[in-house]
Amino acid sequence: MKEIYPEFADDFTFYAVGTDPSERLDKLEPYREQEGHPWLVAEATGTMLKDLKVLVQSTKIGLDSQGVIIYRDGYGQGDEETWRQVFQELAASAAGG
Amino acid sequence: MNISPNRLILSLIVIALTLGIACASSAAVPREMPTAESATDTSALTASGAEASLEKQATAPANPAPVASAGTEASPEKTDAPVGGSNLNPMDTPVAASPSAGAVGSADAAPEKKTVPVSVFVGERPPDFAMLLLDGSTVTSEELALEGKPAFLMFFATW
Repeated sequence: MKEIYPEFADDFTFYAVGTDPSERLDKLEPYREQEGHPWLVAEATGTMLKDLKVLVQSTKIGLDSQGVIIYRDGYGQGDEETWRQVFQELAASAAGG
Repeated sequence: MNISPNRLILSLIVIALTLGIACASSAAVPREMPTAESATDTSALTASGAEASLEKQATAPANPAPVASAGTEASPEKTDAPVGGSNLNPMDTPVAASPSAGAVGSADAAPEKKTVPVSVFVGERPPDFAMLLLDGSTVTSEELALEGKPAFLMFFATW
């Protein structure tokens, strides 16, 4: 995923949102740097996790340019082809919207 | 004079019976008529009632209109709502209610949001959320949508 996202960085914004309340941004950011992740880290506020029903690690939600969910998946690594397809769909929504 | 008591009693019974039947039938007729009418013509009655109230409405605004323009706009709206909503077509109620509930000028913007239901499923709009970023700023779902740029959220932990 981290190898593919840079190709689409101009088309959509990737937020890696921490799910552990004990892990604040000051812990998430060093982890991102260490892993070489090319996306932004973010901290969920309020009842975001509950409202979005994030029940498992590595839940992924894609929002199109109108803010509508066009992709949702739970735990899973996925492969390059899958992510490219998802990212292309997101990019296409940007172009269309 | 030659009538025997038995015959007299018998004839009295017959008279009583015929009177009783006559009373029962006469009492039954008025009972049946209204029920039959009310059962079959209720819709017609209410429809005519609705029409009458519509007619009243159609005529009423002519009179209160000048008054309403002076500042009593709420009263004609109050009379509009129950008549149009309850009596005519229930299917019209939500449609009629939404434009009247919102501002007249913003009628174009509101329905677009309503067409996409709020949920966590694909094809629907997620509930409002906000994320805190490293630079201290907050990004909300509304801002993301307004920006017009898609977003990909991946939820993770370092462990």
